[in-house]
Amino acid sequence: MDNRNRSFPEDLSDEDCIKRFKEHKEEAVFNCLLNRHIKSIRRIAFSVTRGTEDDIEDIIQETAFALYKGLPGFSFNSNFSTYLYRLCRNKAIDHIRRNERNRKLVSRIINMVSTKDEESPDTVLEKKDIKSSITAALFELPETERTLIVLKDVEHKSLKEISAILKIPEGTVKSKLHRARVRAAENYRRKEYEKR
Amino acid sequence: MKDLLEKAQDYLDSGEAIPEELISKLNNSQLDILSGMIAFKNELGTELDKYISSKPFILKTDKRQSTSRPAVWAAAAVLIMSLGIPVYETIDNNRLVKQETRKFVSEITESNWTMDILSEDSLSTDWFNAEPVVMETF
Repeated sequence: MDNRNRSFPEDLSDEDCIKRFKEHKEEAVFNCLLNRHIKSIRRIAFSVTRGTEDDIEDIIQETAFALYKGLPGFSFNSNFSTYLYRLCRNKAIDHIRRNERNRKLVSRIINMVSTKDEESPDTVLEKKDIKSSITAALFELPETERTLIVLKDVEHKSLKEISAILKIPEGTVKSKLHRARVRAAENYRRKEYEKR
Repeated sequence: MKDLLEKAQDYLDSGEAIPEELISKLNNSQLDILSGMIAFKNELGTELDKYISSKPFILKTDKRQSTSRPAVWAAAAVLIMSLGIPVYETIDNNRLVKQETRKFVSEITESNWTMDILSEDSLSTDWFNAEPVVMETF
């Protein structure tokens, strides 16, 4: 394709960006594609990990690398955002597992050498600046429920898309979503009550 | 059969107003949950975005090392350094305790500390019926 005839990546649809990336491996197209979805990816990474900025950036980097490698094989059988969100969630879960192992190790080591007055690493890690009752209530839910709520209520994904991202049947998505919302609402009301 | 909250949730998801008839059937606890659900649905996006930066993504060719790895190494270094101190102190304390014990045993047996004290002869001594040793200061 002649460079002069190429449109700016910003003007292309996701599908056209992917086709152009497959053809020319242009980093600008890749960055543009990812930047379109970056906010959603950050939200998913945040809700899955309850993480800090560093955690989120690590997950985005890992998601981007996996996408960079996997995009040439993308076959358009599913929606790109479904594919990307699933990738991001998987990377976030890997990150949690890895961190959990490291955290346990750090915790064990620090507990061996620290005095009683010092805070355990877990306590320190829990002391993130999460002050809103909404986020605090969300973070009391298990990971799948958190992600379900974020995908539905923030990303406005359909039950079918959520089913594809989480790889669970549509009926299960619906029932789990209902349960998750009830629990989130109860947590939220309790937190609001405790504030008074 | 769907419960009333599930029905209300369907209305919320479809963007329709929840019928008054349905609301009137909800008890106080269900109403409380429903209001929590609505607050959650309306505010979650804004609240999440407060904690998430809006900087754009730039592909980095050098894969970043996980941030938790340096923490593990730092903790391991602290452990190694601090372990040295208690081990040394324990050995040193054991040495002091042994010296004290030797001194004490030497005093009450009026002998020099040797392994003979632990020989069969000495162990066969009836320590319980032996004359008490008066210690002025200890």
